[in-house]
This record gives sequence, C-alpha cells and structure tokens, in this order.
Amino acid sequence: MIAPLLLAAVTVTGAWSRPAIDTGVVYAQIHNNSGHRVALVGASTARARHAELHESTSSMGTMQGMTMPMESMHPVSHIVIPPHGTLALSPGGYHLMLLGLRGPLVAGQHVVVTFHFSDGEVVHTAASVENRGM
Amino acid sequence: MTFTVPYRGRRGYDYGMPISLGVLARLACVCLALAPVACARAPHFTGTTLTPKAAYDFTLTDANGRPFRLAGERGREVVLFFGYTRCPDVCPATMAQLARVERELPAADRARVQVVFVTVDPQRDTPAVIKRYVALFDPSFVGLTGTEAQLDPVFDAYHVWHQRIPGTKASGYLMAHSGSVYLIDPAGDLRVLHDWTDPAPAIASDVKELLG
Repeated sequence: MIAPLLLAAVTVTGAWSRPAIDTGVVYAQIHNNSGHRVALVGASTARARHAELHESTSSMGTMQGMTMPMESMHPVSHIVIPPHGTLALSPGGYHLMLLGLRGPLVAGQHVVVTFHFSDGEVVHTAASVENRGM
Repeated sequence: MTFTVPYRGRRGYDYGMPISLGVLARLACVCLALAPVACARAPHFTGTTLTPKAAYDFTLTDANGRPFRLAGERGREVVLFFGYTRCPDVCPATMAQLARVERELPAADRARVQVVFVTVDPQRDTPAVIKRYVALFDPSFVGLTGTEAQLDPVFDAYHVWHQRIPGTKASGYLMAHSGSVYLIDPAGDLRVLHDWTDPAPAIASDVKELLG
C-alpha cells in the first residue's frame, strides 16, 4: 500500500506555454524526487499532432566586428534528470515543441500535457498559455 | 562617445551595461572638465553601441503582400529582428519581449517606433503565415518576407547568420539563426545591437534614448 503523503517519483510545476498558431512550446520544471536517475522520454497532448523534446543552443559569433548570438536547435530523444534533480524546460534551453496544433493557443487557455518517463511513470500537467517574454 | 562600459555577460561576450547614477555623475564631472561640449549630448545605451552608419535600405513584402521599404520609416525608429514562424522557442520569446518593449513606451513614443520581423525561412513563411504570426504579439508589428534574391543581400548587410538544420519528419527542417535585435534611429542609422535574451526594460531604455 502506498502512503497517501508519499511524493510521486516525478512532479511537474510551473508549466506554461505561449500563444501560437501552428507551432507551440511548453516550458516547465520537472522534479525527480527519487534517489535514482529518471529520464524524460517524451510527451503528448491532444492539442497537437506531435510533441517533441528539443534543445536550443547558443554560441557567440563575430560578424565584421558585430558580436551576435547564434541560435540553433535540435531534437533530443530523452533528457536525464539526476536523483533529486530538477530539469528546467525554459526559453533558450530544453523545451517541448508542439507541432501541428489542432487550433491556435490563446492567452488564458490551458494546454494539458502528458510527460512520459523512463521508469514508466506518466505525469499530466496543465500549462497556462501566457504572453510572457522570457 | 558613450557612457557604455564593457561587461562580460553570462555568455561570455561583451556588451554595454548600465552604470549607476553615481558613476555616471563622476564620469560626467570628468567629462565636463575635459570635454564639456561632447559630453553634454552623449547617449547612454545598455546594448552594444555601434559606430553610427546608414542602415542598409531594402524593400521586401509585408504581411498584406505589399512592398515595405525601410527608408519609408525615416522619422521613426525601427526595431529589427530576423527569425521564422515555425521557431517555437527563441523567436516567440523575442517577439513577446519586443511587444513588452512597446508597452513600456509612452503612447506618444509608441507611434514613433516600428518593430519589423524579417523571416529567414521564406520557403514556408508566406505573407499570410506571417500575418497570423505577428498578430499574436502586437497588431502594430510589421512582418516581412521576400524571394531569396531579395533577402540574401539583406542578410549579408545585417550579418544575419542562418542555416537549415535537420529536424524530424513532423517538424521538417529547422532554422538556426542569429538572435540579434537591431535598433535603427529615426535618421536611418544603425545604432545599437541587443541580444534576444536582454531584458525588455533594457531594450526599451535604448529605444527611448534613440528617440531623443
């Protein structure tokens, strides 16, 4: 029997999204409350045809004396969260990319997202759609 | 001369950092002693201060399919950003920041500032797509596309790095691109460069400074 106050192995807090037409994003803090490594292996939502884990990376380049940030992005298959660690999905870093939205995301709405983890755990969270910068 | 001091940012590059009024006052005293005339009109930017030079003029196609010429904005300040509409992370973050910059300005100044988005993905970003996209952030924003022959000289002139990178079957290709925000003053000179991660109040402060 599981004690009612026992913390789930993984919890998700602060999930949010942005207004979008075809391509959306979800950010969140994902906490590994267990003493072993857990990997985020995927996500899904009824609001989009596909949800993929991506990472934005940045490097600095100098173009004729102008120093500028060069932003790139690539899909990732999984993201490991160390024991008692927190994974931040945040602007400019790891994020959940929503592809083929089934309708626009509008500020004030919520997007229900299901995160899938390597230990078989599944966590549902509601991301609020917000007009936020960073 | 400017009151911008070098500062090594979180990504290890130099950009201007605002300095305290106290430091500014002391600098002003030094300046007043040494060069009172030059000092009296020195602007203070939080972004990277560029040597003023005429911003490269271009004509591209706006979200309504009509030509938009940069030089037509003379008398207004232009805030220029290059991105693409299928970009989930960096571009919407930047556009939302720029919408916040607009909101930070007094109403009278807002009419004298034009935010302009230029796509680095003309193959997928048609005027119709761009129209819906820019409206997500601020109805006053201008969104531009063009043929590769029209866009390439613009990318060259503004040193815009852009490259297709492989995505997934669902995403199609992704675009890597530089994430700078360019401030062009009402006289048409390119003056200040910001990083897309710079706080909206810092960008707004420079936008106001350039309005004079």
